[in-house]
Amino acid sequence: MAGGRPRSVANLLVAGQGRLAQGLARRPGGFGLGQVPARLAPESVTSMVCGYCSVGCSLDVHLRGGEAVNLSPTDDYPVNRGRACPKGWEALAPLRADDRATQPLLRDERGRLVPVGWDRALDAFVSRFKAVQAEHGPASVAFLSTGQIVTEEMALLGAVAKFGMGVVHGDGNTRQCMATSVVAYKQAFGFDAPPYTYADLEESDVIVLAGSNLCVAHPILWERVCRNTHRPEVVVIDPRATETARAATQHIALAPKSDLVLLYGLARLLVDRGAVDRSFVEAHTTGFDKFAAHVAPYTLPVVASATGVAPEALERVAATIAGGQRVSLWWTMGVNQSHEGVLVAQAIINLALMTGNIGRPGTGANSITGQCNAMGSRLFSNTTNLFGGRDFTDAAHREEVAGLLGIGVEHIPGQPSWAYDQIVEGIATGDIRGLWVIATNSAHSWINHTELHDLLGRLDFLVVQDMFPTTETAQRADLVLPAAGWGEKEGTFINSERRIGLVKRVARAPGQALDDFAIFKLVAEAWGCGERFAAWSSPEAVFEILTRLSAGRPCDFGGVEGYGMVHELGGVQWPLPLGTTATVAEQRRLFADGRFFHADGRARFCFGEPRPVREATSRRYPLVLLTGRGSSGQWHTQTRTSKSALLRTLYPEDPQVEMAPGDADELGVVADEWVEVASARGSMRARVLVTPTVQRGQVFLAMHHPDVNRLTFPSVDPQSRQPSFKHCAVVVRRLESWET
Amino acid sequence: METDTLQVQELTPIDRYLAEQADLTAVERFARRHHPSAVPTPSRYYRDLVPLQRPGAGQQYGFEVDLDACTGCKACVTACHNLNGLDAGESWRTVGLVHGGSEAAPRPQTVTTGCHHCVDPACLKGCPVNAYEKDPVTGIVAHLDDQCIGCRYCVLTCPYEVPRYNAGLGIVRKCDLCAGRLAAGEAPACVQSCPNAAIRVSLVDTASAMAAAATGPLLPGAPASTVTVPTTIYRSARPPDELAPSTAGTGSGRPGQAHPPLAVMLVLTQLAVGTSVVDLAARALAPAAMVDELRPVTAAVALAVGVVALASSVCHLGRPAYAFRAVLGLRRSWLSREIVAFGAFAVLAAAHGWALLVDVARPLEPVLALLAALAGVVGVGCSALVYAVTGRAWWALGRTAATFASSSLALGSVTVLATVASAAVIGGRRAEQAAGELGPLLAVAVATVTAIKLLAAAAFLSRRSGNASGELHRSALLLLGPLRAGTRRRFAAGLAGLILASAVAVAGTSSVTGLALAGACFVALVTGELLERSQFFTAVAPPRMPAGH
Repeated sequence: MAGGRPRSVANLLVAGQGRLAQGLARRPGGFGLGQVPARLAPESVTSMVCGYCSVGCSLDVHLRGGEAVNLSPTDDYPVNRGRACPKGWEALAPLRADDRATQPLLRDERGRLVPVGWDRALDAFVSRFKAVQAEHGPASVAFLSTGQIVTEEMALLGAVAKFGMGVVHGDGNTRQCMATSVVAYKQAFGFDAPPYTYADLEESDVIVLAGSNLCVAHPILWERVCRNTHRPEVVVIDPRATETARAATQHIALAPKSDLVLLYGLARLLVDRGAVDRSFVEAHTTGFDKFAAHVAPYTLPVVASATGVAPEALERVAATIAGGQRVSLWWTMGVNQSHEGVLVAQAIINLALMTGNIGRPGTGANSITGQCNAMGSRLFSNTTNLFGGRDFTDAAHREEVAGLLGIGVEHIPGQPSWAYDQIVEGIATGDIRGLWVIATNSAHSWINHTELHDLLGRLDFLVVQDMFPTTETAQRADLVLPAAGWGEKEGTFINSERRIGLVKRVARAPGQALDDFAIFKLVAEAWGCGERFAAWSSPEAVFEILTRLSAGRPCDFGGVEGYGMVHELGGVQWPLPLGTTATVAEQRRLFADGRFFHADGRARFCFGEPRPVREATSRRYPLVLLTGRGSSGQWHTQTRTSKSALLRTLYPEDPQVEMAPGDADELGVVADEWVEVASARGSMRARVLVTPTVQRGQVFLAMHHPDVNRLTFPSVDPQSRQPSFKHCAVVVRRLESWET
Repeated sequence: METDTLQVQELTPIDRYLAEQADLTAVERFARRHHPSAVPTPSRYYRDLVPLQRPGAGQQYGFEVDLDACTGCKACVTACHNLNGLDAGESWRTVGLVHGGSEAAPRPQTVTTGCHHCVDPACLKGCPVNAYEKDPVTGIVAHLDDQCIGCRYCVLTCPYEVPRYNAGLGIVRKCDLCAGRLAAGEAPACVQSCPNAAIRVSLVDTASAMAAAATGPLLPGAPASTVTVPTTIYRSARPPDELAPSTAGTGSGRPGQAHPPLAVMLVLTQLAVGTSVVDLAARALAPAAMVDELRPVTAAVALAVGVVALASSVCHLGRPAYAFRAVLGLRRSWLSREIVAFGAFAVLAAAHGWALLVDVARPLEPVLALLAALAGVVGVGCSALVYAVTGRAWWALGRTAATFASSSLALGSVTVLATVASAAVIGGRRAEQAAGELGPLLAVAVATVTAIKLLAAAAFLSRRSGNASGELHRSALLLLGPLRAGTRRRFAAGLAGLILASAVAVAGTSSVTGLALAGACFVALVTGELLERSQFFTAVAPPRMPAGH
């Protein structure tokens, strides 16, 4: 290049567009994308469903050499329409983390986790668990799994563990997530069937959100609310003035755990107003009159006093629901994680049933799920329910499944699994001696985990299968199996609106890490029952098995012809029975014909007496501790989200306890000071955030810090056995300068 | 075929699964075919969020934020990172939270913030190497990455702390409003990504931006818009007082960044310049005392410390090899001027030393001494202005100039005092005589200046009770709160210096005791000044755009 030299000399003083500017150059990305960073411009693009939450957004993964280098949200997917939350945008970051599990680790006689080969790891897995079972019976080995792996893996785990290894008890993690909704729906509708489609958020003229901070926990669903052109009334029922409450038109800041009384009060107000859809109730439901009698005592003064909500505000909500043409009612963890969550969820369902707000666009009693594949777990984890929402105790169901799978019916246990808390209790009683934990971090996420930590130490053998050997639970393991993560495997997720979406392999797992599917297959081989699962040869082969298992069930997706069809259609909502493939609508909801899944086709009004919280505040512990999502950049125990340097900038570095100004004044603390938050079970340190968004007498901690569940009180809903993470009694103590 | 089968048979299941794990063929099956359209398909979602026309005369591009639609999902932060290919943890957009309203009516408000592409950008004015450009047509304030030397001064001059330092590259980078995307009719990354369509780009009349700047800040509690005339428009249908941060329970906030190299640089340059000045003053006050033996020593100390200070400031740069570019900004950047003035000081101090040592140059010595001192004083003045022009109350010109001047005097006096004391002990009779004459004078000067400094600092801290919400009040709260340990040490060191200087004044310098006391006094004062200068950075508490979570 002539003149290069003089130019570079001049560049010393005044540089042109050099190396550093080039690093930021952008160019058209092709494939329908806009401009992208030039150095990451894709050679090809594929789209797949995100692996964090149940919204199930699609992400366009930008590929070079077949491998993911970047991503952007898919613009023509019916769920997210070109947008994603921070976790989705940063979904590739955890795959590249430094602390990925790359080899199996086995605890040696000196108590250290040392790397071993897969042969040795599988040998230890089989010999140790078989030894436990030989001494204490097959049911003494249990598993705790997750809503974060693909359905095919969940199903294979459920099959291998229960039909191969003789395991009886396993929990698919629904107890930390959606078990409450499962029970509520089953009893009310006859099947665990969230009836809605996301487009309902755009169709409603009244949207009621109970215990749901949609803007932060499910930002893309709030996007759908923003697209609603009917100027909807948005009612948020939440003790905190959350981001969602601020964006709503009505905020009902009720006293914590007074939601059941509130909802019964609203039902009574609706009855009083004559807002009951008599013809719908008579044609499609049973039990309304008993329900009406049940809510009669919940008069306005009674409810106002129990909830702390002004009577006018209650009447306004009732008037809003009564006046709405298309009312949809939505709930999330504020309802599910409660000591009486099933009754609360059913009280919401009852409001929809009594006003006829179901089966039409913009209506429904709609549970917004948590984990990306909680819905897959509900149908196919083979834990509480037998495959496809069947019943382990039903001999006909067992025969049916045995026939479909080509296995002897004697391999199918005649009892459902214990729930998560019962498995934990089983460790305490010595009934559970071996535990296999897959892609979940119980030592962080389980309620009152000080006790769990103690119990994990009592196990004869603990296997943890995870992407990271650094999780609180993996650190306690006797054997760590290195697993591939989302993006390193194939399979399907089912999202909140029952939409099946694809996950693809766009990155190589590091070292010896294997996808969970391969690990389950290897375990089956090593256990000696591999032959029984020969047909379960690949994720897609399992998908085909699952379509057969679903056939004739309410969740029937027998008409889905393999991954190619899911890919082509941009996700498929169940049900889609065989023969309905000609035209598949992008958005479908249930119960348009008013027929529910009970044998008589009618929905049930389910209700009961409110119960007091198990741990009320006291003089010693005068404050209610609420917990919940911190920011949209955080996911559960943060084994993945904390691996992104960018996501780490989106939330406070230190744990932060939110406190009302009046309480802070009384305690003599100002913003940013360190305090100790203590319950009767444990304590933690946090910095004070003084904010009027929490009410007097309450404090809020985001659930993501490992110490938070040292404080929580282990009470569970008696029907769903889901723990009440969101209510316990604490005291906050100012730390003196020498303590900080 | 046969060999293939054989190979397959030889693989164990483990090996087979490991091989499959590395096989990315699934992508081939599902990869999207080439998209025929040149127009990006997401454009239909943001078509209404970018202007159709380029800015006309008197106009520029600016961000417009609908606060009622921003719900704090922070997708904009991550999209900026991904779609611009930024480094780990790097983004040019932030989302903060204002805890507005009252207990009765809480009003949390999330606020998304990028660069405000100011009409009068302070980053551009402060840059010593002309690494900023404001586009005459679009008004976009662009950073020229290859020109940047990584001094990070723009991070201080920008009231909104928009430019971000990238430690890996050693330069600052910032939002360019996705200029290339706008030119191609696409929306900036943040605009594209907002699920609620809360961010758009609009055409802003610069005249109306200036008028708006005069009426108040971008948001209640934000920096005054008059400094740079930002062009971002924040809209809300809610009454503005709802956006005001609740003052209940607010503390001091977090301390500022410490910048140790800058603190060291400031203390050492002030020590060097102070030594030159005090040397000159001593010459004037007690001509007989400044004997030939002393002069080269003080000159050498001034030069050496000055050079160390300059070296420390160069090392502080992200790209020290390009430090020489700092002369480019002389016309508008006080940082350039500071660098040039201290460069001149070092050269003149070296020339002065040469004149002291070489007989031929001897006649030039007094002039060179004077010139060096003058250059140094100009440099210290520039140092004060470097910080004063950022508009932070804690760095206001009067306060900063007084602090730097008194530091220079105290440090210069104690340095000459220590030099005199050493000369008296190791040097000859003449030096001892000179020490006897100068020592007490210098000791009294040190004690007086130190006493005044400590009193002023104590008086400042006692303001804590007044002026409840101001910047200086927050600085005082920081010094008494999170920074209290440093404050205690700073006062202890200052008091020790004061006592030791008084002891020297009484005991005189012509003894080993005098030397020991003077040496200890030197150490105490330098320590105290380093602590004070460190708090010069950590106790700054300017109004900020909403941060926090």
